Amino acid sequence: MPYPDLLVQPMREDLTRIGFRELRSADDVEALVENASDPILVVVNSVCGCAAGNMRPGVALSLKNDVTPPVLTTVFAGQDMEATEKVRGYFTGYAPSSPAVALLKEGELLYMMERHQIEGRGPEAIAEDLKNAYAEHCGEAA
Amino acid sequence: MTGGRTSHITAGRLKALVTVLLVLLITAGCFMRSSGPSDSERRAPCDRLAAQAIDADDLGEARRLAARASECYSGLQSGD
Repeated sequence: MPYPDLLVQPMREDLTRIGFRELRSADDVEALVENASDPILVVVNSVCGCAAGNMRPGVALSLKNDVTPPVLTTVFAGQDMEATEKVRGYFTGYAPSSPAVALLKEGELLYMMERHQIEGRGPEAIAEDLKNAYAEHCGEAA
Repeated sequence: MTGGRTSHITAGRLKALVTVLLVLLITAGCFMRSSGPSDSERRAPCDRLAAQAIDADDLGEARRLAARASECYSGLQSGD
């Protein structure tokens, strides 16, 4: 059962106010993922207390970097069910997990950070892993 | 016959007493649960720190606030 909007809204805004576009439906996901030729950062946001609480500032820190993904998007697990299910369809080989962070390009999964790689880690460590992924997949050489 | 009636009354009183005690226990349990802060209320100060970290323009400040938010969440998990 989805959480009340009032509870979830600040968690959505943590990402939208730093430039993330929310994908609220399967059509939103498909339209963006299938048509973008640039790497897309997809954050699977979550209410899940400590993991998501560390993930959001970790993602924000990772974007204070020279190399960043050109397209920033997010879906909210447990809230925007259809969009989350659709986006997970691109995470081939991975079990559903939230929070999670992924890089996609032309519908292909380039990088995946699952919940177990977020849980128990601070924002700095999360940001470092993401910056390494940006360097590998979003830099000029990528 | 009188002894049977007496034991019947005693059993009835005992049953009533047990019922009252159960009601009191359940009421106390509900009161204790509802009087404590909810998970989201306990998490709120940490969420605020995380939000400030996200908003900070200065990288050093963002790192400092993010570390404080992380400590705050860890404190919740360890029950501090």
